[in-house]
Amino acid sequence: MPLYQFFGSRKKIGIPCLIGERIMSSMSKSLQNVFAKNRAEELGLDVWQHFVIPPFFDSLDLVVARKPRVIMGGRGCGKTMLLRYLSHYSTFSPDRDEIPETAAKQIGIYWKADTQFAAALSGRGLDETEWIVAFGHEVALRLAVEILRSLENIAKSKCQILNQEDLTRLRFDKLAAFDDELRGNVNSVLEALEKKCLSFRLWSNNIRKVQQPVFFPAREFLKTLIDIVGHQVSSLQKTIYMVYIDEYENLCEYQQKIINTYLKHSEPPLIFNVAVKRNALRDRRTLGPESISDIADFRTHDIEEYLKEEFPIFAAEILFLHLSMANVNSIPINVEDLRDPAALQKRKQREYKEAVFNQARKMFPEPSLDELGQTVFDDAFLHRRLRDEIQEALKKRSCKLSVETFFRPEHARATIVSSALLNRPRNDPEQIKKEFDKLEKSEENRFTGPTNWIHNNFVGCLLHLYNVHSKVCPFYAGFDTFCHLSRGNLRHFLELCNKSTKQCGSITCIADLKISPQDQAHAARQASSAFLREIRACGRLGNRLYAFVMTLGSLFTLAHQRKTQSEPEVCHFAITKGASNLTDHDTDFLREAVKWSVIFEERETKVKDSVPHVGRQWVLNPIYAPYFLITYRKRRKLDLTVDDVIVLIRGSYDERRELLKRFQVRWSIGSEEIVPTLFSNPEGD
Amino acid sequence: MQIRMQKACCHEALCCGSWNLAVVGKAVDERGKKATEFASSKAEAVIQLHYKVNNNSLQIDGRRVECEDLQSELEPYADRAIVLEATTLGFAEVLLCCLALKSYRALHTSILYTEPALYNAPRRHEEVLSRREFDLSDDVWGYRAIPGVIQELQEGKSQKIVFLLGYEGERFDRAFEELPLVPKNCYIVLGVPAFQPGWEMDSFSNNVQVMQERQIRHQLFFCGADNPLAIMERLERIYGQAESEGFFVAPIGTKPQGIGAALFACNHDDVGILYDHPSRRQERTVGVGSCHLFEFSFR
Repeated sequence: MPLYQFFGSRKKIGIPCLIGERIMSSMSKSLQNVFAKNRAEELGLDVWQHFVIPPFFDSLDLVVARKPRVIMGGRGCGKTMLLRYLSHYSTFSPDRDEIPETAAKQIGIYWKADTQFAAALSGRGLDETEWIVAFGHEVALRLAVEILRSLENIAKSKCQILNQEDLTRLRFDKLAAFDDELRGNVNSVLEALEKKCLSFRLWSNNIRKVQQPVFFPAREFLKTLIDIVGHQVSSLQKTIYMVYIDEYENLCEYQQKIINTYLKHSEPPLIFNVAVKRNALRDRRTLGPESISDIADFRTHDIEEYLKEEFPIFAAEILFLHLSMANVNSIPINVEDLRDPAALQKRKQREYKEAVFNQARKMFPEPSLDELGQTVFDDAFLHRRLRDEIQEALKKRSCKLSVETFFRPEHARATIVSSALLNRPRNDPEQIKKEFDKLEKSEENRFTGPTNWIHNNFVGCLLHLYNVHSKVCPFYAGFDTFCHLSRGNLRHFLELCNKSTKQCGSITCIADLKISPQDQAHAARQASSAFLREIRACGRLGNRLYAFVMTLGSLFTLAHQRKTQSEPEVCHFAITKGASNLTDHDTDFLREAVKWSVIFEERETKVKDSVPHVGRQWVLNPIYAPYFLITYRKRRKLDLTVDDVIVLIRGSYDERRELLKRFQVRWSIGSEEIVPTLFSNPEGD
Repeated sequence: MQIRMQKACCHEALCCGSWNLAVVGKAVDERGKKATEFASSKAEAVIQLHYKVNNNSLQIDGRRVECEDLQSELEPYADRAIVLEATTLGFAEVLLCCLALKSYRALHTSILYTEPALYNAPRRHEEVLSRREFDLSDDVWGYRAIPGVIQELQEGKSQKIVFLLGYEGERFDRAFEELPLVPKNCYIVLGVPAFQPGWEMDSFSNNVQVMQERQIRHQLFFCGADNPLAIMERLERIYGQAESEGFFVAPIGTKPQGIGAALFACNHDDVGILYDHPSRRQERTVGVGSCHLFEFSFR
């Protein structure tokens, strides 16, 4: 018999509402943060107030160049923000007090296609040629609406070239050549276009039952519209409409070919530009026999590359803009300068940069290496652990020297490094003692000097100690550290700031804002965990990318667990040799991982048999370092065989565990040490 | 629409007659095999249906059929009894079948669904901190509209989006990654009570972080994870509240929630469905739990 059987609705449930309230009240805390909105999408289409002119702005050559631009960069580097800034929503923002007439020389049209809708415009028994025309129609409708909205925004703005009266006087009857309903003033044409959008959606839902609309050829339709405007508004006669298509990579293959064709045939007054993730502009075919090529048809602007050197100052300026908008006083920037392209040179001056950096470093102080070493002695667990490790090493070496010989709190860093040195069979404990004594007497020694044991091993040894207890390590604190961890990703940087300042309450003066290294390190761990979880949502292979990063990160954690610290600070890998080769799918997977910035691909030049050889290596995104308690500094490389990498890419859960166990044995990490698991560290807020 | 809902401890305990046609999917776990066997044993004919995301088409017993042709494929069963075996059918298949069948208004349709005894969380017992991580899906196609419920999302328009959430918080996160969504326009429905006491905590835990990150603070509702009727009613209420320029449902939670969303979409031509088409992992669940039979008519 069934457990129950009935018609209609069940009774309402009471208890869960309490849980709901609890969830909501726990979330409201984070709302006080000034850095909470760290995605361009959260700011709306008009980003005028939030946008900081980036240091590379002049390189975009926006005034003179007429060649289409491909804006490239990883997630969170600011592509969408830039595109929205260049769009009419920001150029003619109501927040802008003065808008020069030259602003109308180029009108930016931002378009991010609804990819779930666009994906439905394929297959279903229709030839691709039919879908090509249909998608062109969609482009025509969407961009035409945006062009008309740009006129509305100009009329509403403080720009003098067009006012509301001028706008209502404009007539668009010439568009009736495409469709009889498209005539009259801007409002009637907008209304008619909305109706066309609706008809198109209805047809796309029922391609058999609903009559196919008359499809507009995109470029002809848009050029006619632009021509109509130019003929009636003299100030817009020579205007170039720059179309910026965001997230090009999410469009279907044939849709990308259409956009490629638009790119190839771009010419004033209509120029197409796209924004893509790294490795995402792979198919360069057009609808015709030709392909598009860099420089001939478009110019690539790699934002991450542009920002490489300038990221810290740009990040600091964005940090202070946010604080300024939250009414924090005495910030070391002039907000108007950040919004003024002409002030870029001023912002590049050394004195300015130093003032900005100084303030940022005061806000996010970074402990010195000596202070980091001292943290071990200030913590009872770490203190005891260090003593135990030294004792254990001496016992293993059958050395009669006492622990105190090497445990010298006044030389914190040397003591921490000693435990690794004692574990290395090549180092004689007596010799280490002698070197320690020399260090104490400030004589020439191997702890410092050319051998520099401390410099080479300290961070590795420190992380090893912290990892044993999965403790939050202040190694991840500091403004410069946050910049390293973010590696060109502004969203990551802002999230680190957001998590750090969460508990600050209301602050009126920047001088009052100082986050302790411990709080920063906590924030770094939380942000790291959150971004790690996000990997699952990265494209079609998100779940596999997540497993890949978890295993790779765990492998690097293991590498940090080696008691000898013979190869400290490993956070990147190269592929050396193996029984088989990576398949095309495996290579595509690595490319996908780079596309989503979970790893970065770099070239390495090495000399083998006197012959220079250019290889590739992959660096784990440093934002994941605090979660795995590994270094964020690119120091030493882990050589993996093809077979190891295959396991990382497509191994089962058991195979991944087996791989980790194999390295645990190879690196002589005893079972009493932390057992490597794929998911070992605490996380969450 | 009236729905007759039954819940039983095993398939044999369900009160049901026989069917003229059973539409089944590919079984990836034990409960799927059991459910398919049960549906097949009580049906005169069985077809296997699969939605191909890459070309927006269907496969019926390996034969390509366009979604638009499904209605004519099912025409021979227009006045007969059909069961959709929703344990093995994906959400897209259930939705497309419902859309195709709704024009045959005299038809009685049944949907069979079998809960698992457990979901696959390989680290649940080994690693305390990862106990809520589930391995339910392999590659995920991402959000792609399904023919018949295609609507366009537009930034700047006031469009309501209702998320029916389950264990996989990343699917919720992915929606914001891929689609032009505005958090203040989003509504959340969580499956409470869950299939089993305590399971709702997995769902909360895996989604609350995304809610926090995306600043979705209000508009949170609860409906039984196994109750399609409650989902339909909740959706009707949200739909009927304020005027909006579009209404979307993202059924990324339990299958019964998805069934509720599919039936709701059948009643409203202007509703869009947002779905990310995960490919279900082999052995994604363990054992067989309670069995459900939902019976309704589009009359």
